[in-house]
Amino acid sequence: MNNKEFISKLAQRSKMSVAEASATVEGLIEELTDRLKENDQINISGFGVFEVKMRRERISVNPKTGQRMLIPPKIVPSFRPSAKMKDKFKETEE
Amino acid sequence: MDAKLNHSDFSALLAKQCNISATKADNFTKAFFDILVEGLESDGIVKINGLGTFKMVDVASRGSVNVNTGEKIEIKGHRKLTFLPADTLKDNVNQPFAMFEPVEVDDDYTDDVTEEITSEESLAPATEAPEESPAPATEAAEETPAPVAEDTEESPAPATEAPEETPAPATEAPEETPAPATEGTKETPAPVAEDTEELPAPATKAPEETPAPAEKKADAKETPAAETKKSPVKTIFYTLFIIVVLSLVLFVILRGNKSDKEEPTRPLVAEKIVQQQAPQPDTIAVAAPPSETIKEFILVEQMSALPLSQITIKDTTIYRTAGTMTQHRIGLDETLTKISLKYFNDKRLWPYIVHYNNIKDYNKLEIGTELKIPHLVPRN
Repeated sequence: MNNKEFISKLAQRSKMSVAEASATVEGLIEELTDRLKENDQINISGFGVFEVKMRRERISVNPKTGQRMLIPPKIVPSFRPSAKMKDKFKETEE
Repeated sequence: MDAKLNHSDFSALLAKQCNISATKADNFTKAFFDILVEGLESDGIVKINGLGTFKMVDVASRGSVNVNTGEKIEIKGHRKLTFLPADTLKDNVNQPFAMFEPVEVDDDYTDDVTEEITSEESLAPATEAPEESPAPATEAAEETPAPVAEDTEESPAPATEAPEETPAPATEAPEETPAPATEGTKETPAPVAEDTEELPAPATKAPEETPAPAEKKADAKETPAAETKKSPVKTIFYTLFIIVVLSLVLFVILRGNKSDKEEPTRPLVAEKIVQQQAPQPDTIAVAAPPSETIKEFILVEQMSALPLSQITIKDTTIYRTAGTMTQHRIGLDETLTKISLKYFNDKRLWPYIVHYNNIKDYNKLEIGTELKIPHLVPRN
């Protein structure tokens, strides 16, 4: 499912126009990004948790050239699916 | 900040952000995540622009070990929900560390830093040592001439007394014992001369000088033997002349030790003395061999005196600072010793830079620090 399909479906479900739905999705993503920037944790029950993680700096070696690179520290957004979601998809597999 | 938001909290914020009613926002977020799950169930992948991609990933079954019992177990293959954040989201979140970029590092990068620290530490005592060493060196230099001067000062006294005295010191020279029988006045200068010549030898302790007195003794023995009655006055004059020359040489050496500027004049004086002496022996045939020995002695004196004075001058790291010469910005791979070598032509003088700039920890200097390079003037 790509972005277009997703928004059209969302518009249908929330009884909005596609443009309106698209703008609201943008607003939602913006809000989510802002919250993550503030180091907040967003817990969507039944779905999962959006949070940020700190990655320490490290030295990585290119196995081909042997070149050593110092990778700087960074903050990465991460998503942790809830246990409910995990079980749900485990079941669909079997 | 570090807050834990749940679904309703987030909906409220969304309502504010998009200027929509709270219920509408709440319904919207619910719909948003419901459709997301539906999409994952149907397609296994959902892409949302600006947020990222939710994707189902197959995990192959793998073997593992129960950590408690050590029993081998098999983790069955399953599907896993993964989230790959979009670039815009990643960049936004990583803003605090955005200025960092991967840097290539050398294998010996860390080693280099530690080596430099150790080398500077090792240099520190090395530079302290020469500062201390000149002190004893100069002391030694001052001490050594002192006994010599005392000896010479003492030696003239017996020398002047000797002519009047009867050959009491003649016991030292057993060959001269027949001489006093003939002429008492002639022998007295001979032992005096020997005395004066022998005195400086132990004072300077130069091994090269030990043959010189020996030769002189032989010469002295020959001279009275050759001309028995010719010139007692001349020999007296001659011994006096030797004493004067020796005292002059010692005086010059003493002065030379005190200041390096007077040093070049000293050898000239010595040459003059030699030259002055040279014409005289021409008139007197007998005086020739002793003048040579004196010349040798002077040379030996010079040789023994020169290194001492040179060492003290060369190793002297005592300077005083006279204003700022230039400014220097510390560059990459530069050390205080290198800067010292650059400006003072001597890598040991870096403590002056440290002192002049009031550097507290000279092992921790940052690149780009402005240093004032002092103008060093030798302290007399």
